[in-house]
Amino acid sequence: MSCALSSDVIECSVSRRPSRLSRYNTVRPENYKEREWQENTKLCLEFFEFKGIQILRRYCTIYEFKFKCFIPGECRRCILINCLKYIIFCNISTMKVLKKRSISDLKSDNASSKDEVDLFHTKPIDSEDDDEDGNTSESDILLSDDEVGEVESEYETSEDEEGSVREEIDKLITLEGGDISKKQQLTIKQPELSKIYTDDADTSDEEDLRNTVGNIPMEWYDDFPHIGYDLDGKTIMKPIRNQDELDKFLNKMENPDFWKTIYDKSTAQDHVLTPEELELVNRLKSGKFYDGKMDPYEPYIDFFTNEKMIHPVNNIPEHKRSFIPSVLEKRKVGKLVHAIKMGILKPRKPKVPDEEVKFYDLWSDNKDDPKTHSELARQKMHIPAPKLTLPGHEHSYNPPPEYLPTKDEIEEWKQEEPEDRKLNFVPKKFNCLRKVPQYSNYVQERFSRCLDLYLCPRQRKMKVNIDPEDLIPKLPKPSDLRPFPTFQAICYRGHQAIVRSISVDHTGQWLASGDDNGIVRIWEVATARCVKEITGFIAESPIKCLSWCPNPSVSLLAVAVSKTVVMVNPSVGDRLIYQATDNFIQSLELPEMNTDKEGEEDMKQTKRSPVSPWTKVQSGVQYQDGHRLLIEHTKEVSKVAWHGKGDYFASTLPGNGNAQVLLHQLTKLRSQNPFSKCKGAVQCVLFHPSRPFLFVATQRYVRVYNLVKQELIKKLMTNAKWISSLAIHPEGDNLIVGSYDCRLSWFDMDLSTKPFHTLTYHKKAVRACCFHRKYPLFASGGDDGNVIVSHGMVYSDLMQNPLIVPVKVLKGHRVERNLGVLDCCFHPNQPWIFSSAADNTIRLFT
Amino acid sequence: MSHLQVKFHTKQQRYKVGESPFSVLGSVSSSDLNEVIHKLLEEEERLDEDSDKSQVEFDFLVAGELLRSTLLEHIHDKGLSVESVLLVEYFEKENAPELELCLDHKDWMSGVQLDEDFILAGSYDCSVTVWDRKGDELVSSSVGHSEPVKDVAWIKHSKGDEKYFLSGSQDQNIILWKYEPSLLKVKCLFRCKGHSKSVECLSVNRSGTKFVSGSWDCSIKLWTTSPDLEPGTKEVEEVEKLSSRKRQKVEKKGYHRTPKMTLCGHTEAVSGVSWLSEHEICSGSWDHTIRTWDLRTGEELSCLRGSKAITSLDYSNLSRMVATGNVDRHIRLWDPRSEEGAVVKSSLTSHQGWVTSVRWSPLSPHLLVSGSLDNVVKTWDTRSPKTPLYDLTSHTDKVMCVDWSQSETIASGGADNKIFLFSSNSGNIEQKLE
Repeated sequence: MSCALSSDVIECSVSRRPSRLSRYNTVRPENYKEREWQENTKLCLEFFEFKGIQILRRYCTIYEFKFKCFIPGECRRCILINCLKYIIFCNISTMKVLKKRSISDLKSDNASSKDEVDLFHTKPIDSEDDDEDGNTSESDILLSDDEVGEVESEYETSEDEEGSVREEIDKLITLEGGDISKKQQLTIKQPELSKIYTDDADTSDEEDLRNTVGNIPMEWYDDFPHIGYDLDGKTIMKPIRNQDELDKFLNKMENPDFWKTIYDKSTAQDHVLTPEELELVNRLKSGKFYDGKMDPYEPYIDFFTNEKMIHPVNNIPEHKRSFIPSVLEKRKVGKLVHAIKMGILKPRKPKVPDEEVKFYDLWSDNKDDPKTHSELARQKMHIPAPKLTLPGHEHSYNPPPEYLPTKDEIEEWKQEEPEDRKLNFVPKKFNCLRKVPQYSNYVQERFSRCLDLYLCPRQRKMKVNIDPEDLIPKLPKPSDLRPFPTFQAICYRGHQAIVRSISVDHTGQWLASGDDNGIVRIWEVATARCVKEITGFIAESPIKCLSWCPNPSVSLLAVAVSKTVVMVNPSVGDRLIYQATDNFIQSLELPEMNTDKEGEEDMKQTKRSPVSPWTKVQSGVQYQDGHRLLIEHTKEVSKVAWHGKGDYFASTLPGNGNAQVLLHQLTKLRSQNPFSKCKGAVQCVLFHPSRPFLFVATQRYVRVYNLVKQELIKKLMTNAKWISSLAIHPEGDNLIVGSYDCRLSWFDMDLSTKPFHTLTYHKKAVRACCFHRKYPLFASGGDDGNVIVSHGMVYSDLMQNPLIVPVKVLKGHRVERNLGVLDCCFHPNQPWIFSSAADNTIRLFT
Repeated sequence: MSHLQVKFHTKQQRYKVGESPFSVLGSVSSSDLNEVIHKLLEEEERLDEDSDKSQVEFDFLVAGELLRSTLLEHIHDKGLSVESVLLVEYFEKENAPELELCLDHKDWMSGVQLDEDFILAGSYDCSVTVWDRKGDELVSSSVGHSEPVKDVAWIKHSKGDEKYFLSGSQDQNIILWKYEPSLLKVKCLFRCKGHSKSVECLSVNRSGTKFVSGSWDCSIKLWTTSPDLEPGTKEVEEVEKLSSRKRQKVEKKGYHRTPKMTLCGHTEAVSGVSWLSEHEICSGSWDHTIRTWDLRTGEELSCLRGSKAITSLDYSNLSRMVATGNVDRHIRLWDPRSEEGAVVKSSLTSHQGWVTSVRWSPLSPHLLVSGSLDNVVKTWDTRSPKTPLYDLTSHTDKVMCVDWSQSETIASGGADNKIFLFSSNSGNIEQKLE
């Protein structure tokens, strides 16, 4: 939309959709008073903005229009709207159309209705140009399509006209012929035409002589004397044109306007283009707008704003029907369902796939030829090529910094043999992928890969699918392996210090226990009654180990305290036996070491090892306490182990040196050192229950010696770091070894020197282990305070492996100072187990 | 909840109600049934005259077992039909035993037995003590035994004032004592020597002429109880050999007596013996067996094998059952005469420790008392194997022995150096029954 103001006119043009007047410009003419001017301008603008549009809409169906606003003295409140065919006069204030006039009427009445035109042309300035101005203003109209057609036809019919301009115009027309908008712009100002007519024919009547035949080929009128009809239906006669070639030539030579003279078909007359028309033609030629004032780039204001508003355009809540399912749809679906049910509606038949195009397999062998055996095998046993390892982070062009080698690493890499290198390249970092250079080893790598694939034989590995569950041996349920101890029955309280060692006598009536305060207590098993408290040992030294003599006819308890082993007669149980024991010890004679030759020989045999001297306790408090014999050692005694017959016993003196194990014979009151040399620190020793074997456990191995033949029989590899305890099956073929690294290993002596089974159920060090004498049970106690009882059935059938099933974890002991169960032993006849612990108690589980 | 048809009946005539069946909810417990019976009795106007009767509580016996849960659960457990009419027997409920006496001693009590007038107890301090029923210590003798006494037993002699009793000890002797209430003196009459290990249990026959003892040496020995020297025996000969001085000395210490018979067969300590009849005894041992012996021939009649060591055994003439206390916390009931079928007729479970001692009620075939290492004495009705009748929790340490030889009193001794006497009315109820 444009608006221009001539001296007293606000000229606006609204393009396409007149909505509002967006821009205007006013210049006050000199003869106007300022206030008056402003007032009128304002009125005009208001009108255009708010009301004029309605009028424009009513009359303007054409896209573009122009209007002019006259602000004359008398008729201030009138406006003239000049739009294409009509000129409309409106009263601004009342919005009424005062007058509507067709332009053609206006033209025909141009002369006669001078006053009316004057009404608008009361310009004080340029009164001479009044006509021209008025013409211009009135005829500054866009031509309708019809008119354009006329113009076109005019141009087309002027074939005989010569000159560059005409050619150009022709060219233009043919070029732009399809474009309607251009055609629309191809305007010829009506007043000029009329001027031409007036100039040529000198008849002002012909000014509005318009051919009404329309857009038809004018050849149709070639044979007629007229070329069409005017508005009143009268024929328009062809002008007399009888120019011959000579005339034309002369005209060409003489007429200076010849080059701009064109032949108008519709009027069948020559027409000399005016300078404006020439300018227009030039503009069109150069592809510009027909209107020189037209600014295609003027700012455009959106009808709708592009800003996002916070409020919605309308805020009506959604209608209910948008939530509820549609009834119509339901009906429709129902109908369809019904149709499907009734079989009316049937599913589409599946598309029959087009018959496969058959190709002739050029490479296949002749089907008739039998395949060779190897070929068949290869086809059947196809082995895919081994896959390459997938690239890792170090293969990245931009690896994380931890994957980048340091300088030292690069040096090291370079030093290494190419075969030994982990990576065959050095990872590097690049900023971007395009900076990565070509990989130099590419060809070589491909080649080696091909070699690999080609040269390496491939072999199919047979996989066997085995359910791992099947590999686990079927163990019987613990409930089928009864009896075994299940709950704590009795707690023996009374000790004031850690109970390191316990022992049950062979009848199962008495339990002996020794604590760190050097006190030995004898308990009645069934009632937890402390029957005796035996003191008198070396003060403050803990009882390391105690053990009842297994000989049923002797009531003796071997107690290891500090550097001595004390034989105590606790005087409980069968009176005859303990009295007989006293008598028996009285009757024993101490061997005289120094004088006796045999003793000396013994000494020689045992390579002068220091042998602990025996002393009898004859009287005093210690005798009253039950002490009967003392065996002094050179070192601290840690363990005492009886032979099954109850005559021999062994004491362990851990530490370096040769005399780590001493064997004592009760009946002869003799001691000897069986080993001239001990390998490793001896942890404990054990007699075989029936054969003359001695088991010596060092930190890692258990050595089995034959005492009669005086030779090493076996060396058991325990796999343990530090053996803590040993126990042997009453039949003597199986051994369990507890170790401080939480394991309990079962050895089958006939089978191997390696553990047959290892139980790792303890969470902490295993301190003690034991076998039951009668029931197939064994147990281990550890620093986690638990005693784990296991079923260990040994079959007489040599082919059958022992059955080892852990059956019960007995809890109850408190862990104190990281010490738990220190000793455990089974009741000799009942499936009960005693355990002593660092919480100063002994517990019986039954 | 389903309804059940219930028909009440009782053997106690004074609480009899009509025999018409009633429909009760399946969820009723014995307390609800109690109310029902009370209502019925009120309707029949039996409770009006006697206000005591309204205090009476009843126990209900359904399908041979006392009702302790709801009726429906009980029936499900027993596998009975819900459709049929259920016969519910009810009887007066056992009253809770009331603490009667508490006797203190210096050391653990290992054995206790009641007489009509006296309380006899053996202790771990080697002494045997007699109290009267009021709780006054009459006499205590620590001279006889050199080691803890393990069991004691009265001998019922009807010879005037003098009382005789036995005590067995860890020193392998059994001493036959004479107690003279008038002089408040005990005298060691005989020293029964023969066991080679601790004597664990004693049992005197009904007539009081013989007794048997079980010991840790796996043997059972039969002895006579006669307070006099038996003529024609070795003892007499030996005594006759002695000079008069020595004879006095021996008399002071007690004459020696030798066993009449030794029964060997057990492989481990004999922990309980009991008389079945005049010529039959049964014994329980740590070797898990119960053996019955014929004393005339000295032969083993039968052997019932269990799976757990037996700590105590008692036979009831009324129920003809043997009750044993076991180390697996159960009390088991055995029929010593039958060998077919399940040897264990019933097991009573509620104790939390070894059952150290069991004794039948002298009057009721269903009642028994047990003591356990879990410090609790429990009274049981054999018809309710899961729930004891009453828990007597007076002891603060291990219960070592219980006794119910006098029908109205239960006695128990324990490692807390105490003997508790509880009065029990069960005898009265049983009498009322008859």
